[in-house]
Amino acid sequence: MDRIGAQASPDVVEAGGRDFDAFYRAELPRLVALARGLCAPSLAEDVAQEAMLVTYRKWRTVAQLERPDLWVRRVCINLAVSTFRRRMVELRALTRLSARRDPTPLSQDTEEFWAAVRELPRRQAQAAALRFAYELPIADIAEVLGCSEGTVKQHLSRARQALGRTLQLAEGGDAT
Amino acid sequence: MNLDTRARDAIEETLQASGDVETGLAALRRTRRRRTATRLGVLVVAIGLALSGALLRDHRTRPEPAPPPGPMRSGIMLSLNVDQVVETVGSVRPGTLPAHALPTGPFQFTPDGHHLIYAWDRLVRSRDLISGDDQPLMPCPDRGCLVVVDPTGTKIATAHGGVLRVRDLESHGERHYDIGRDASAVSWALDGRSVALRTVGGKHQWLLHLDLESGKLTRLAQEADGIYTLPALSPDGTQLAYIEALGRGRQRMPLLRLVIVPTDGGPSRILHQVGQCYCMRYFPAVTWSPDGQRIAVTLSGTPRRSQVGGAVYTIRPDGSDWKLLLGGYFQDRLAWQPPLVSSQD
Repeated sequence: MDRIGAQASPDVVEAGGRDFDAFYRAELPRLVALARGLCAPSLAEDVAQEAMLVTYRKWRTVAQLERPDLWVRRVCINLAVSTFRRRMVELRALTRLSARRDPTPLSQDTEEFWAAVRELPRRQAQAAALRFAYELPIADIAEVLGCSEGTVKQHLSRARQALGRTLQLAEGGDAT
Repeated sequence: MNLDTRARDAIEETLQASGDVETGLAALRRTRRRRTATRLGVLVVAIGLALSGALLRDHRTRPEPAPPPGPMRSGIMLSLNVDQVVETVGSVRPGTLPAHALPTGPFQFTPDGHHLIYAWDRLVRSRDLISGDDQPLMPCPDRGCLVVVDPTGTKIATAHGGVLRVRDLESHGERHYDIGRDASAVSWALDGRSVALRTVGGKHQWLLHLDLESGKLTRLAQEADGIYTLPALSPDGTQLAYIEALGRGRQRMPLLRLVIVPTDGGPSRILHQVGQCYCMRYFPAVTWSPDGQRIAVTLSGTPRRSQVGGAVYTIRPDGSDWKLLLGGYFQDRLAWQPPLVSSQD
């Protein structure tokens, strides 16, 4: 069963639901990291913030879900890879440009790493970003991407091969 | 260094470099408030536009109130203005006149000048101009109330499917005339003995004359480019006057000319070049004086698109004495009242 869409257990609901602020504080940094792997660095924070805005707007519903964290990650990867939605985010980012600080520069190695992830085919990049940013198990990645675990394994395996070639690294670790 | 180590390092650095979460949270709330306010503003503007549009539409379609009434006089001429309000042409408005009439329905006086036959509110009606009583004659058969009523208001004619049906409203008897083509009846002679018809559809449209006693059907004229008006039969039924439009399709403003044709099938005669008209909604109207001595025409006669009003001109049936009767906002239909016949005469 899709746990993103599943309702939270009654005790969570009865406890008054989850607190958005706590959710935001816990999720945002890794959400930015996830976005870094999927869209331009200058947009990553905006995409993550936009995903949080969507979540905030629907919080009364989202808070009732069993896994709101997976829900916001799905929103984030959809925002990051959809051309139209990304354009909307870019437009909104432009309107905030004057007040926004530039993204903190990262080391060359880190920038190279994220650039290599972004160059992967879309689904491989999504699977890899989720894996690296959250160290998510295959089952959770499959749920966020809405595909089977076998497909996720295949994407991750190919992503690792491609990243290893691009970054001239030993693949190491376990693809699954 | 393998891929997992590189990835962990990258994630670690990215997390450390991420912005201040509390600042981000405050920004998120501000953005949320701003977008909510924007949505509300857009909603208010949209509702305002919708309401103003509805008001404008209502204002456009709601007929203007009729002017204050005056005493009933004999021999008045009536027209409709652009809002379907019944107007008198150059005389004080009698208090017994109906306020509105449908431009495509009947609009004529009875021969004694006592009643106006007109259509409004999906009914063909007869208004007693002395008492002001309004008598419904029949329901309109269609939205435009495309029927023609005999001068006395006791018979109506409709034409569909190649058959003209004349129905007696009192006896409910019906007589059929085979006219062979789809047509609409457009004018009933004041003597009650004939009707004019206009064919519908086909490449060319024709004006026809039907003698109701003999059933003789005469083809009078072929429409050149478009006959915009409802043609009018002379009181004695011997001539048909109509406005012919030339150049429709080649020019945006066709040339209009007043034409008269004898109902026995003789050649037509151009009485007057009457001008040009965009005629997008309001078309020139033609009527005969009750004595048959003059033809009245209303038309814009101007190349100015913005002008929707129409002056009323009159001319003799021989084409002489074209003169302006009155300028104004007269459009669509004309009716010329016969002299009132006193009920004691």
